[in-house]
Amino acid sequence: MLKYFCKRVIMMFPIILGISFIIFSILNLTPGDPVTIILGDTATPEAKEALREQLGLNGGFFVRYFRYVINALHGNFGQSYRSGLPVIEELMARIPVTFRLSIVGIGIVICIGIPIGIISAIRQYSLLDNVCVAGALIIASMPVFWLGLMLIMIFSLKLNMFPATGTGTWKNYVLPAITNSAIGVATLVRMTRSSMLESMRQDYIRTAKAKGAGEAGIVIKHALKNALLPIVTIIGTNFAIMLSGAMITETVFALPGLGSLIVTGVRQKDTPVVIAAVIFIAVAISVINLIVDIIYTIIDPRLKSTLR
Amino acid sequence: MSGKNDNKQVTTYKKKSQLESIWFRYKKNRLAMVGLFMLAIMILLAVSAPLFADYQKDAVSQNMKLRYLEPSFVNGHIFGTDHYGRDVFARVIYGGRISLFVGLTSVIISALAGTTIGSVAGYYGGRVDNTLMRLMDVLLAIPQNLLAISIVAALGPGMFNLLIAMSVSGIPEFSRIVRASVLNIKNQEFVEAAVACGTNDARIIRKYIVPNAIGPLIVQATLAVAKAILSISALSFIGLGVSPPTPEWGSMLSEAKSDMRLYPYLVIIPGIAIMLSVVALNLIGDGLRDSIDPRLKN
Amino acid sequence: MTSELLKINNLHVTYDTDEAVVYAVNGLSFTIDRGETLGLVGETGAGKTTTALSILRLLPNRIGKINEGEILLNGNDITKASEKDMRAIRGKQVSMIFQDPMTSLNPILTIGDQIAEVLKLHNPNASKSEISERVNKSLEMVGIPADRKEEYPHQFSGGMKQRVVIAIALACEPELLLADEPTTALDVTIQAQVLELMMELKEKLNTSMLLITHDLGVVARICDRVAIMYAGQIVEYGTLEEIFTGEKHHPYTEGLFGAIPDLKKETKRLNPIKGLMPDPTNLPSGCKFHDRCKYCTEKCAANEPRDIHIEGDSHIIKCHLFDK
Repeated sequence: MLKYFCKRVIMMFPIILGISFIIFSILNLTPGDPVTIILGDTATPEAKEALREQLGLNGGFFVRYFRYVINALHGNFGQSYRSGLPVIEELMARIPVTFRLSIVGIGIVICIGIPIGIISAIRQYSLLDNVCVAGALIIASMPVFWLGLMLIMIFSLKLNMFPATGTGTWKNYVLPAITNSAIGVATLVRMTRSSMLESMRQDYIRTAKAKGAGEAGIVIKHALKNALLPIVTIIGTNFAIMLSGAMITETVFALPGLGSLIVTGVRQKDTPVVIAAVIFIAVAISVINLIVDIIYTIIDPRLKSTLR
Repeated sequence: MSGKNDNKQVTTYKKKSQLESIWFRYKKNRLAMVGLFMLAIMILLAVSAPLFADYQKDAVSQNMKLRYLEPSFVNGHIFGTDHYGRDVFARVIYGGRISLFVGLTSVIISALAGTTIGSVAGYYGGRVDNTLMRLMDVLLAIPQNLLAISIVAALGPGMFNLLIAMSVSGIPEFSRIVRASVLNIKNQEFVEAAVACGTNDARIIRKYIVPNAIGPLIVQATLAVAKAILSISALSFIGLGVSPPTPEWGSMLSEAKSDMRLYPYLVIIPGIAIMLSVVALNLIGDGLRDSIDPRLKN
Repeated sequence: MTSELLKINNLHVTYDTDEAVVYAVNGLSFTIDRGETLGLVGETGAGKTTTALSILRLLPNRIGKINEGEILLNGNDITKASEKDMRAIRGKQVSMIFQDPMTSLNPILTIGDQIAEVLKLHNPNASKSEISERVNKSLEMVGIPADRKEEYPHQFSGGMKQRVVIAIALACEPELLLADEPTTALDVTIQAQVLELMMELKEKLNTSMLLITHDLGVVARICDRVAIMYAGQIVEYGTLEEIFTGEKHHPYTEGLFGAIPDLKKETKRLNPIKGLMPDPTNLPSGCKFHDRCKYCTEKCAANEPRDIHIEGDSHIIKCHLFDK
């Protein structure tokens, strides 16, 4: 088992390297010279060259990439073009907000999405089921930022229950958490429901019934456990979507997280910040997917036994 | 003893073409038909937009005297006007053109490129497959929206760059789906049987792989257009998509943000437009999925 | 207590789907005595599985309905029993085993767990060690070492999985076992083993059995009486000798036996019965077999035949040919 973990973890490194390469490459396509942006058009060529060297922008593409990787391994992701601060500092300042939002978000998704999906499946064709399916479809079709705006309109402006921006108290996180997790909840309701329905159609359910098991016993002991296996993987995907959706939610609610850092970074052409933040999120997602895969391998007896 | 049935022919069934049976099953699905109807109306409105409003006059030019008119049937602005005095209805239907155009085009490009890569990898396997998939694995590790925003960051905002970003960021997902589909079909016994009969590669691809892979592909493409519309409006909302004054549902919402308190209709209307398009496409995608393989239905 | 364990009278079962009503069982009657094995034979789609599911009321929820008839278990009509009563019967008085052992077992529970489940359901006051004892005994009874009870279904071969299924079904020593094509999904050699096992257990526990199959060879080995089923009805019914030997048979039975290739003769082509089983949503009038029958007459197309007793009580044929 340990061998399998180590193998998977080791396989992560080329992928992380690959991610950094792709992002670095894409963002170095930026037309326009960052040095000119920083110093202005009137700067002398010598000053530009000096700055270029200082920022590590001299040399060919692969030299720069290589330099970037070496520096990154030492925790040096360059400096922000806008603020001059080390990028790593900016990242560190922002990670807690995004982290908090994501954890709360995934918590809501699991605690609400799974039970509703299960109930909807057990009571298939009932009014409750139809409402849940319709509701899930509508919510999943809403743009995240629109949902955020609507929530602000209703709960902040009209009812004055929750603040629209800022990060002072727990109240600041309520609306963003709901916005962030709404689509995740909708998706998980649909997926849990279809996984349960699939599970309940299996032959072993018929065997259980033929033993004289009652509905509760069948659902909990047989259908549910089997249905939840693929859900674990879906929760991982959901988390990934939530992290990348943080860009939008944090912008709408003006939360100082990684997502809004990326957005302002792109708007201000602050390339080092964007590169580092995007790589960070992509790597975080890969790590989460790895963890989810490993968990899945452990809990499914069919896979676990092949590891021995 | 002889009986009545000695010379009787046994009854046979009339065969329906596959396309006909798919359409037949689709028609029976009421929700799917609603989705189709909704999409048809949207396309109609988008295509015939000039009939309803003039682009320059209504959607783009500013008329400060007509600012912030509430929606009503009486004053000729059924969705009201925005903070620049532009007719919201006109902006919504011209905005629909953008969403549909960019959404559809980017998905078609992603699908074509992705299908090529995925089917080559899936069909030929071996080293070709391995190298392609290593590359795709890295690309797939980056969420689609992040990939798109990186490309927009590199190229700058604007509709054309948005189109490129959306097309490219969608390719990895399509290659993965098509590759999985091709592998699945390739390993089924009817293909094995065809190979055993001496069928050549081209014929196998044409008669067996393509017809079976194209169904799931179309379903995915439909759902991808729905996701694309959401991404396009999201990017425009944060200022990285279509540039003003081009009307786009996402940027309309961005502009309406500051007017939320006093003029909620400016926020509600474009959002509903996005939601309805996405719902329609999702219903169609789900309906197609059920019609193409009824065994998957619950 | 009579010797009749199960008696079905004039059973009619339909499936009401979105598209049409499927007439699966159309006036079925038979009896199973204590300790007796009845073979229910017929092609796919004849309604055999539906019959078994109806006995335990395991038909699909909103779709399957028993419209008419009675099912008497030890004299009680269980079509009128409550769901709670049915649960007490399932697994204890009447057990069922299904066709495909690959999918009948829950892949994420150990086989010990799955056998224990049926024991716990019907012996709620038993202690853990008692249950464990009985699980071990059940496994040994079917020839599986008890120390394998912590393993999962995928670790067993097809034949062994079916043994587990049999162990589950017989754990509570039921009076009647419904076996729906229990050996069809298995290799021929394993088939023989599993059949042996079933016969042995049947003797030991004096269990009655309803054996559903389309394989006449299996019937010959293990059944006491045979019922031939077609389009939801029993067209011929009798003891093993009466069905397998003798001159008088339903034309369908003739066709079935005639379709079996003869090892001793050299034949160029097989002898299938012409045509297909009728569409259960659109059954023909009169005798349901009339359009495939080579002896068909005007009367056959118009009127449904009665059950005719042939020389003695036990052999029954549903055909106008024998109706003098």
